[in-house]
Order: sequence, then structure tokens, then C-alpha cells
Amino acid sequence: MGGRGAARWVGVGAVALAGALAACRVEWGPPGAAPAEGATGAGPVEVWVYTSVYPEVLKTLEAPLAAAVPGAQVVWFQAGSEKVAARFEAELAGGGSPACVLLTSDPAWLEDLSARGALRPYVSPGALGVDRRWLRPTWAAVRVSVMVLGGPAGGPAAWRDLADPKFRGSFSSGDPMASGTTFTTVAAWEQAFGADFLPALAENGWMAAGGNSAVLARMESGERPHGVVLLENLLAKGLPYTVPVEGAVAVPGPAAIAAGCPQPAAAQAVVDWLFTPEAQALFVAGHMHSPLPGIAPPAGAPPLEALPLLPEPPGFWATLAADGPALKERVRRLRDAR
Amino acid sequence: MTVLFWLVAAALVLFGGWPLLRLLPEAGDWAAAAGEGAALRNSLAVAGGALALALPAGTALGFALVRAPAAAPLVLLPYVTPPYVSTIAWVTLANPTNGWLRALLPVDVYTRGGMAWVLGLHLAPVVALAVRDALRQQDPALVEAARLAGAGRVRAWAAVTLPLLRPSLLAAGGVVFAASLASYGVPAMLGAPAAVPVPTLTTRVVEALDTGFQRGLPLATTLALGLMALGVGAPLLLRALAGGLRTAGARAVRPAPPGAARGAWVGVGVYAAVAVALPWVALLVPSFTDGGRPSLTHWARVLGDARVLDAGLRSALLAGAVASATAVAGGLVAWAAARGGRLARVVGAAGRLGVAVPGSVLGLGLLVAFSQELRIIVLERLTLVVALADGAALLGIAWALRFLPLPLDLLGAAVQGVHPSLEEAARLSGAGPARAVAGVTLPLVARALGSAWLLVFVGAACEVTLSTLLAGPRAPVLGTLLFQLQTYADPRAASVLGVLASAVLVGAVALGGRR
Repeated sequence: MGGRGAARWVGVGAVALAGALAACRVEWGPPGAAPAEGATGAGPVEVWVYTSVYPEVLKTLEAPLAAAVPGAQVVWFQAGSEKVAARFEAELAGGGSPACVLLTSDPAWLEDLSARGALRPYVSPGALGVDRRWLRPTWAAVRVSVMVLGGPAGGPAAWRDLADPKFRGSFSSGDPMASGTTFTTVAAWEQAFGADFLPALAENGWMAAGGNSAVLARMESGERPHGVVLLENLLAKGLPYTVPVEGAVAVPGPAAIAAGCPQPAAAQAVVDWLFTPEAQALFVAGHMHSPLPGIAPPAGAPPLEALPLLPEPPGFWATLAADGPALKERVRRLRDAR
Repeated sequence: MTVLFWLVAAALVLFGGWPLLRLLPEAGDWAAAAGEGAALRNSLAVAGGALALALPAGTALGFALVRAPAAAPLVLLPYVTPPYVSTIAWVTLANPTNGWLRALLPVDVYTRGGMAWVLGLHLAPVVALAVRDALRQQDPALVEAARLAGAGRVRAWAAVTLPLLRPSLLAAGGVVFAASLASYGVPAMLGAPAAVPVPTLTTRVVEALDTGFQRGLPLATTLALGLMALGVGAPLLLRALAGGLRTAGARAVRPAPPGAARGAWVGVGVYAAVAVALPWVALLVPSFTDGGRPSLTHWARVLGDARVLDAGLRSALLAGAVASATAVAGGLVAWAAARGGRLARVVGAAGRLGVAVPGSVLGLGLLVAFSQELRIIVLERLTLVVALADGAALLGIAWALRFLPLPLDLLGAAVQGVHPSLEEAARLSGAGPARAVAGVTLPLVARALGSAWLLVFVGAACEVTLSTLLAGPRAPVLGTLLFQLQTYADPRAASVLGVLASAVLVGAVALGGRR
């Protein structure tokens, strides 16, 4: 290689190195000098929270959380439950995730993670009042969403009404493949009404597409005036709702700590705060129910203990974790066979 | 030039090849993939339909843009508007229950035809810009010579203009086909609600992953391999059909005949009425109501949200950087491939993988490969930490991989139209290889370079799928905001944001073009 060629390589290498350095974060000091976990005076530590909680609700949580847990600087990754799961699983497959706290609306996924040893066992003292259906050694519900029927008067008043030809083609739900809360609802239907219920819905023009906001959009535009949709979405818009005769579907929104979390003490402090009255009030202000007794329901909604709910058999979440993929495949085949 | 080429190749291997290599061992669920014949047929039908719409519409628009250059922002608007947002509009206009157009026509957007319509309108501007640039590169004296020899207008067009346009047409057609094949948002929003659902390969990939990452990955990667083969093979086949027609003359300027601009504006007006006005009215009218009553709630939500400006600026900067990087990289590889470099053609084919791989698979592959921090300890005093997934770096890489085929194909066609003898003449006069390219070829393909930059910039700025997966928590971009509004908070506010972002982007493009 001549002198000019060598000079060009050196020049390009210098530019590439400068670019790479610009993309780096720099930490000074010997590599082993990072403060030990829990050391005082070390300054706040980063706690990454992967969550599907609504962005508006997250905004209300940020400042009180920072004040209540000054040792933790929370970094939020917000996306749908399925995207959160996909990102976390891809990072695990790549060698590890920075996520410390998982806060989604998919208990079945957390059961699956727990079975694989990907969650750190921890029960917050504040969670001891949570209904035992929604409390595990590795996760506990910090909020409860409730799936009901939305739409104008004269619409379906029961889940079974969705199979009534009178309502053919007039209702829709989210896509259980893409929406965690809809997936839980569909699983609850199958448990309660048997294997023939979903095909009956499909026969009756069941549209399962998008998420809860897509269902609302179809209700508001009149394309599908009735919807299977979360109570909190209807309350936020002041739209009428019907609690189905057989009972609404409760979908707990659990919090869990990832086994690979680099700051478990800080993560525990964050999870503990989520069960405080202050945090619970913020979830309720976001139109969700609290799983803890004695906390007022969201405005316009009955208390959780007064809401008729579809029965949740013992081991429901573990069964859902195991059978979930097969259920999604059944729903997909049902849909594509029309 | 050689050094830069090897840098580009190395970057492709590292950021494109390595993630694929991490995922490819997962592929192999051929039995399940064999059962996806319906999805394959639907994908091909939708991509073919989009091509059948975009090619003639884009060609006509390209001719119109030569006569009426000021119409470029209007022509670009459907491309700038995120397909996610324009799909919402077409659902309002053409859903089978109460679509606004149902009073006039028996339309149903929840069909393969509906998907092809939305994608074809979205991608016609790509063809239009490619045709415009190719026409500007042509020497009008060639057509004049044909007319002087006795050929009529149509014959001159068919015998002279069309063959010279062929490389650009086929290259743009390849981009349209591959982009339609890899589209997820449009088929997802229009396929599931259909009376007879219309799964496509991309929706099946995402559904496979939704059944569970570990369980669904084999089928997802197997289907992604099939998409890659189609998405890379089809454009290459089209390029091979383009032939080696080139010109070696300088480009002269001729005044347009009187009235030509008026005709061009009429054509653009018809297109704008269907592709811009209709959807924007369908988006904007509902945005001024809430619960059936007039309201500015949705506008207030967007205009009062501080994240909008922050995300918008970040998107613009990142998209600009990606557009510049891909324009340079794509131009370099396209030039090397056009000048007979076999290795360059291989690199070019590899560079097209990004558009063919579904966004979810591309994003997950990058996360699997690069989500870990890389720590480099220097002299036991300093630790350099490369954390690509933290901020916007990984998203920028994903965008670059996703949009690299645009400059590869558009510049490839443009460079192919420049005869090598021009560069040889410069070399014989003593210019080095870089100077010959910079002084001779570059000015002739400058418009194609500018168009490629523009298409990458506007495409990346409002991209949604990769953004929701890869944008770091501290670096939200427009795509993440659009998705959050649409999915969680306020779909009508998402429409407002999509329309505003499109208008700002196109306005900036128009201002930049004036200078």
C-alpha cells in the first residue's frame, strides 16, 4: 500500500473512531469503582421500568415517585403489552435486559417468565392486602382493569348476547393476538362458556381488530356501535357502559422485578411505592380500579367488590401461560376460516 | 472511494448481517410456513396491485412534475403522510358499514384491493420522483431527432423516451413492490376487520411473535426469509429487465410548450383531490368533534403537548442524518455496481434486505444483537460504554437499513443512465477516480441523489413500527408519539399529529426547494 493509500485509511479510521467515541458514554475511574448496591451517598441509581400503563397516567406518577424514592432515577419504556414483552424477550435472548420492573397488563406472560426463572421473588408489604387471586411470590397486581360492554342503550347486555343474531355485525373487540386485555377476556370467555362460544361469535360477525382505542373509534364512528372494551376507556370519554349479566372480566395489571435487574433494592423501593395510597389514588384517577381494599373506585364506576365478575378458576393464570399460544392459534384459525 | 466502499460494506455486515445471523438459526419451521399459502398469495396480490396503481399514476405525475416543478410538495404529501394515518382516513371513507364514499360507490377498504389502493397512493410519489429525475436527465435533442425523422409524438415517446425511462421505472417499481410486500401497518389495520380476513406474510410474522417470542420465533424468521427472497429477488429481476441503455450526451434545456404547465397542474389537481384532499378531510373533520359535539380537545392535546416538539426535532435530526448516510452509502454502492463490480452487486443485494425484512423482525434482530452494553476499559482509568439501545442510535441504524434500498435503486438507475465514457474522458484528462466521479457523474445524478435523500428523510421521520420497538426511553420520536396517541389516548389526536407533521415536513421541503 502506498503512502497516500495508507494516509487515507488512517484518516477514515480516525473519522470512524471519532464517530464511535461520540456515540459512547464515558465512565471515569477504575472499572471496579462503581458503588456497591445500597451504598449511601452514591446518588440516585437508574431503575428501568418497562410498562404498558397509559402515558397520561405515567406523567402523573413521575414527580411523586421521584420525591418518594429519591434513590431511584426511573427510566420509563412505554409501549403496548405485546411490544414490551417482545422487547424484553429479545433483550433476554441477546444476553440480558436493563429492565428492572415490569408493569404490564399480561399476568399470563409474567407467570411464564416466573416459570422460566426470569423474575425475582418479591412480595411488597403493601401488596399483602391484594386479593390472593392476583398475588404471587413473583408478581402482584397494582391496578385492575375491567372489560365490559360499551355502546348505546338497547345493545347486548350479556356476553352471550354477542352470539345473538340480533346483534350480528354490530360489535367488535380488540385483537386477542395483539391486545393483552382482550386475550385475557377471550380466555375467560372460553373458560366460562365452553369451546363453542368463540366459533359462535365468529359466525355472528365478530370483528376482532386493533386495540381498545380502535374499538372505541369504531363505536364513535358508528361502524360497530357496540364494543368489548375496558371500563377505564369508557369512563375517560364519559361513554355509557353495561356490566354483562354473567360478570365483567377483571384483568389485573401486575408489577414484577426482573431477575437480572442490576438494582434490585431500588426496584423494590419503586414497587413498594406503587402500592402506597398516593400511587393507588393516581391509578384510580386514571380510571382504573385499585386491587387493595378500602380505596375508592374511579368516578362513575362501582367498587370492585360490588362488580359482578366472571369466575376466575384456581390456577387460571398459570393455565393461560401454558395454553395461551394454543388459544391465540385457535382464535387465528377461527378468524381466517371465515 | 475504495476505502469508503469497504466501510459501507463493513457497516452492512455488522449491522445488517450480524443480527440476521443471530436470528437465522431460529428459522426452520418449514411445515408451518408451508401452510401460509393464503398469506403468500395475499402479499403478492397486494404488492402487485400497489405496483399496478403506483406505476402509471407515478409516471403521469413524473411527466407533470417536469412541466410544473412547484407541484412537487403536493405530489409528495401522500408519501409524507404516515401510511398508518392515511389508513385511518380510508377506513373512514370506505369501510363497508358507514364509509363516506358508500353513498356513491360500493367500496370496501377491508380487502386486498383496499390495501393495494392505500399502498399504491402512498408509494406513487416514489415513481413520480424517479421519472421526473430521469426525464430531466434526458437530452431533448433525442426526441427532436426522432420527430425530425418523421416519427409522430406517440412513436417518439415509445421509441425514445420510454426506453430511456425504463431503468428508472423498473427501479422505482422494484422499490414499490418490495415496500408493499414488507408493509405491516396497512394490512394489519385492513386485513383483520375484513368479512373474509386477509392475512399477509407480514401480519403472520407479527402474529407468530405475539404467540410468544420463543415459540413464535421459528415461524416468524422462516416467513421473514421468504419475504427477504421475494423483496430482494423481485427488484433485482426488474433491474435485469431494465437493460443497459445509456446516454453519453450533455443535457440541453428547452422551453416548455405553452399550456403544458396548465395541463400538468390539472393532472396533479386530480391526483391531489383523490390522494390528498379526500383523506385529509376524512382525518380533519372528525378531529374537530368529541363525543358527537364540536370540540378542539384533540388539537389542544397535540398542540399543548411539549413532547411533540421534542420528538419532532429528534425525528427530523435523526431522519436527516440517516438520509445523508444512506444517500452517500447507497450512491457509492450503486455506482460501483453500475460500473461492473461483482462484489458491489452482492453488497447492493445485501443492502436491499432491510426493506424486505418485516419491521418487527428487523427490530427484534437488532435488539438480540445489540441490546447489550459494550464496555471498553482503557488503561484501567476510563470505561467507554457503547449502549446502542439506550438512545436513538439503534433506531437510526434500523432506519438506515430499512431505507437504504431507496437510494440504492434510484441512484442505481440514474448512474446506469450515464455512460462510462464520460468518466473515462475525465480520467484520460488526468482526473483521479474520485474527481472523475465527483466532477462528471455526480452532477448528472444530483437530482436523483436529492430525491433519494428526500424520500428517506420523510419516510424515516414518521416511521412507526421500528420506532415503537427501538426508540430508547430517553429518545422518543414522532413514531412513538403517533403510536401512543393512536393506541392509548386519542386516535383523533394521532390523526391531527400525523397531518401536522406531514404539513410541516412538506412545507420544509417546499421551502428548501425554493432556495
